[in-house]
Amino acid sequence: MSARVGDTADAADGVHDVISLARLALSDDVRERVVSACRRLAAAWQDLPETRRGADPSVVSNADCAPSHPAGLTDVLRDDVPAPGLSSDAALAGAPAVDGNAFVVARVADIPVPGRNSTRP
Amino acid sequence: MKPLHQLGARRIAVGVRAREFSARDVTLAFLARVRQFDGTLRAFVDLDDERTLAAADQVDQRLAEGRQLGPLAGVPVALKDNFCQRGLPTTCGSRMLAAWHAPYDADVVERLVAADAVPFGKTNMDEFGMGSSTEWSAFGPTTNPWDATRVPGGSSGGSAAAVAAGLVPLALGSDTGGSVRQPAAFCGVFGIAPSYGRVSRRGLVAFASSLDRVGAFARQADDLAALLRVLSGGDARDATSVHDAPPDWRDDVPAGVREVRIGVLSIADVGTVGSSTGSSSTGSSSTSGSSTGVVPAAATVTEKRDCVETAVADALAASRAALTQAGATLRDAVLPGAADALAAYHLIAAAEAASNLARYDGVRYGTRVAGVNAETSARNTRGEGFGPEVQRRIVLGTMALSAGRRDALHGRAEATRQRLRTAFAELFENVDVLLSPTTPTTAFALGTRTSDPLRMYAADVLTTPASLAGLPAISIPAGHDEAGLPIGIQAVAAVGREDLLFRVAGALERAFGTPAIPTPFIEAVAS
Repeated sequence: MSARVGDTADAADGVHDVISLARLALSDDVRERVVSACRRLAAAWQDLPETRRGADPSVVSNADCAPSHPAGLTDVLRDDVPAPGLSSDAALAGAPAVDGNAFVVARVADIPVPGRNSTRP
Repeated sequence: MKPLHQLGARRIAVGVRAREFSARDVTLAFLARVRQFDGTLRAFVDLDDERTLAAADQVDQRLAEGRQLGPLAGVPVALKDNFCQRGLPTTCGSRMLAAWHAPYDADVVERLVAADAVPFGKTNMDEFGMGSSTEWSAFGPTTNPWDATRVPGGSSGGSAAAVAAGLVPLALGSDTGGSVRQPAAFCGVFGIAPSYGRVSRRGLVAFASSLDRVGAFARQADDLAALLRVLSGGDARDATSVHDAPPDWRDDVPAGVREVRIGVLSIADVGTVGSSTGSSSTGSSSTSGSSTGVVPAAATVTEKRDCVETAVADALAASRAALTQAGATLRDAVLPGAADALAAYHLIAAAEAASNLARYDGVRYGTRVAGVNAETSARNTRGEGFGPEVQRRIVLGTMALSAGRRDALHGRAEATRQRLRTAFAELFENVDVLLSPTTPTTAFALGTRTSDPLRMYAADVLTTPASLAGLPAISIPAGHDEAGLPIGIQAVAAVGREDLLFRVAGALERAFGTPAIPTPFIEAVAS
């Protein structure tokens, strides 16, 4: 059986890592509340029946339980016909910052620019 | 004639078509109701008189031009604030989208307009649909029209409260784990989550895509049937959409339940508040020999469950008696795996939410909080833009999908879901409809569960099984408890069998009566 989530200090540290993976900048007190709640939830919910990889071979394995449409739809594709879509103006209208026909974002890489201090934020 | 706000949707449409009154008359009557009562209720987060009246005038104009009006002629329909309506705010109850305006109409909005309904404002909700009380809205909670100290349920609490209080005859919601049925029960109205894929989700902001369904509210079963028919039908822009032509369920409401086979879930073992046995329920329910237990007594995968209140149990017994009297065949039923549904639901929904909400990074739309670079900006945006419940679920979902935990959490949840689907399929070989309470309790007090997620989630223990299986399910008003709070009874059927739900709803509406507008609330506000 898998290790009990939230039982160890390692697991607790793992929750901190997960917050980072989730791209959430949280204050220390909020972070602790989230960590505490998630450890409690995961601990409460870890007793779901094992999959086939676990102790009980009679239950369904992961491979048997891929999500499927309740009505049995599979490989749903619509006809490949051009149709009007969202215009650039409409798509950009809700953006926090735009420049012409583009979204404006903070710098993603520290690229030296001649005549400028490359370490500026 | 009754005041316009007391008329049902179908009666309003008949009156508009017959020129008894105009769509503008109807809209003005409901706008006046909102202005009078919504200061206390806080069901609406956006409602513009001028825009709404302009939509009503267009209906009147079409009638004046001699056009044949649609089935919802002049009927105001409120939209939960996670449906896109072109040019209007679509906040999802979140600071993240507080200033965002939708660039297109949801499929259901297009269908409503084509049916000559009048889109009537946006209603409050738990942030991105994550909640059971509407207290997780960034814009403050909605109150219950039967008792302003109580929650309306959630996450579609604004829509449920608005319909219950007679502020609008019909409203749309979305149901991922019970977000239409649970508030319908708490507010004393009809609420349906149709079969997964029955109604297009194009323009419904995603929460958990394998579970999200468009749902609807009404105070009369036949109004709900009329609304669902308008909303239903295939949509090539939603790959999960089922392209079957929707039946006319209005005929099913008066059809009765003679020879309908109804299984009644035992509520004896749903559990007790604070219980925590720590026992697994691995398949034990199917071999326990119990003929009545839906949830085995030893099975608690959540720490806390609600007792089924006596009044709720009594309402289920009364419903059983009424349906028997109406000619249905009633029997006890077992649903193996139901005890695990709540945990499986929350793990799957959180995992999908973590994925769906990854798009909110402050670049393409919504709030942006500055940072020294793009990554820091995204983290700051998500840290400040999302509320605590959404952040909790994103972290839980990320955890459920992370290396080393996926098998133990998400994998087992998906396996549980598959077993539950199989259990439902086997059950529906012997019964046509499964009957249970919608919720273990009536509406709880504001502020009593927000600090305890497991306690809050317990309100969904009876709605999540049908959610995981994508089955149509309806909450039907079935009287009140001693405090006057409404009670809801849930009926579940096989995929595509909404007709059976409307037959049961009609029978119980005849037994319990059409829900009234709550007079204590109205009188209190009016005075």
